[in-house]
Amino acid sequence: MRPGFRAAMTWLHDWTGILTGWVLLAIVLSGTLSVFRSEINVWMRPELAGRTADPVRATIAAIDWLHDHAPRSPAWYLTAANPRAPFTWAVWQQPDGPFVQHALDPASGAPDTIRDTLGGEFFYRFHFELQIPYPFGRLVAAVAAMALVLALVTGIVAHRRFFADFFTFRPHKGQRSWLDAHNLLGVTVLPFHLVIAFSGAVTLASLLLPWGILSAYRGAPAQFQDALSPAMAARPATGTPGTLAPMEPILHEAARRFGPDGIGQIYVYNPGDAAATLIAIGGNGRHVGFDSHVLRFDGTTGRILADYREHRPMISTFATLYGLHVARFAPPLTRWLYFVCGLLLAAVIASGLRLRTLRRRRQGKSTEAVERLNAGMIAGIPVAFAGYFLANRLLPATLPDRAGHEVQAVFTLWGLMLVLAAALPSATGWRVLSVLAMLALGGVAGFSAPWLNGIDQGAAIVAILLAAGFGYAASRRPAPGGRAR
Amino acid sequence: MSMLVRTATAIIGGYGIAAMAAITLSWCLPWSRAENVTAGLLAGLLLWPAMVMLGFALRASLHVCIAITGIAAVLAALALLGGWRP
Repeated sequence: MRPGFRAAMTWLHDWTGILTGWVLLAIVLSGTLSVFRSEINVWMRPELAGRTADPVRATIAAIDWLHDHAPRSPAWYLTAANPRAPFTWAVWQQPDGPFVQHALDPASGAPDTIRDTLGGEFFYRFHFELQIPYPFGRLVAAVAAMALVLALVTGIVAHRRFFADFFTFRPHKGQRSWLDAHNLLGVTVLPFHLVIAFSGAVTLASLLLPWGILSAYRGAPAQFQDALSPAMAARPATGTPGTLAPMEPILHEAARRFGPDGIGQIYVYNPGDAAATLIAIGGNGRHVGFDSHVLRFDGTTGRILADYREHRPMISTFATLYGLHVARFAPPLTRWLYFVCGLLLAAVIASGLRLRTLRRRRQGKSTEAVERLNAGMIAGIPVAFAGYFLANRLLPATLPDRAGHEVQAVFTLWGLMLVLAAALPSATGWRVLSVLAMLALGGVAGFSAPWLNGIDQGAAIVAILLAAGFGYAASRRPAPGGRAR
Repeated sequence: MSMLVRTATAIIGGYGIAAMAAITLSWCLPWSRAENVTAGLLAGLLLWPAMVMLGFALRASLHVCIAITGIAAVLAALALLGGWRP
């Protein structure tokens, strides 16, 4: 390899990392939490503790409730209860326009026994939408994923002693230690990092590169979606009122055809119309691919209109890459591996950002502003995300738009952390924010009491370990001259 | 300045090639339309970062421009042969 090539790739690696590092950090941390989206959903609804739900019974209850309370919604989108989540997650539209999403009680189908919260869905949506309106948030996330692929590949080229560095860590040497840590964390989990970055871009591919779809489908991209999942295509409403068929036989037939996959989602389109359609989507937790067994029912007669399973090789390849990212297939141990690897990726990004400022400082350039922002992001995001869990327990259960306030708490805290970090000298800012992160995470561990089930114990252990990490960071005294010892 | 030109060429030109590859495969592959389009999506995602790296690997900015234009022209020619009409 000629040296000019390596230098060019190093330059590219550095700049890609600097320009996208902060947004990638937010994406990676929220994605890491999304691994336990269902578990966070349950943690944030302690009133569900100890409950179990039969997916068919719970779905019938939910549809009955929606039939009485949201008959005019153009569609009801239900995610069925399952062993990880003893409630139905429902999305519907109010007559005046806005969409409502709420957990529905598995027995009564009503939302009011369960507190209003987005639970783990917040991290999941934030992971690829960044709380920015469609389609811009998703585009930012897609470009960030591509940038991560680029940073990883150029990082491999930039890296001189690839295999030797598996075994290299020289502590207490300032910049050298940060570089060792960056390399060690980056190299050991590199296959995961590469797969998660590329498959992340795959999930947003049709938004990032719509040109093939637009040209082949001549400007009617919806046809591509219909071709991807033929059984999902809904019928247009006729305008003639209709009555929904009894749900029990439909759902039992769906459960029978799905077998061990179980019922994943139920979508009811035009529920009050003569052309009402019910789409039943099988669970996809038993294979890597994201594709599902899909059934389409006539909503008024209960007759099966379509029964589709994916077999096309290219679509299955795409679904497998997609599935590797969302990890629906993952049993608990794999899920923990995803979680730990996600945290390690966040550590790679954070150490890379830190490395950059250390190097520039050694070159005699001013890095104070960037270093303050680094503190606001690297320690600030954990404070804000932990704050979401705290808000879930601290806000009164009957507060109007409670779920919205929980989300607001995240961004208020994040903003406050950034202001605080910007106002303090970076060395002090790091320490103050690390202490705050430690306290917030300690709070999460405390609110997981009485630690009776696996979810509360897991949450408490993760929170305590992370709190210990931030506590350690806060206890370190930067060496004279501003260089970490 | 030259770094700015190179960066813009690599990112925008690389995206252009990825988009063109997505179109070309959508028209030229032998499978169903949905599968061809999907293959184009995946190929485009692989090509974009690769083209950005190419944009920084070549020594002269002029070479980058020639390489990017050349690859895009070949892809466009194949797409036209496959029935694409822009």
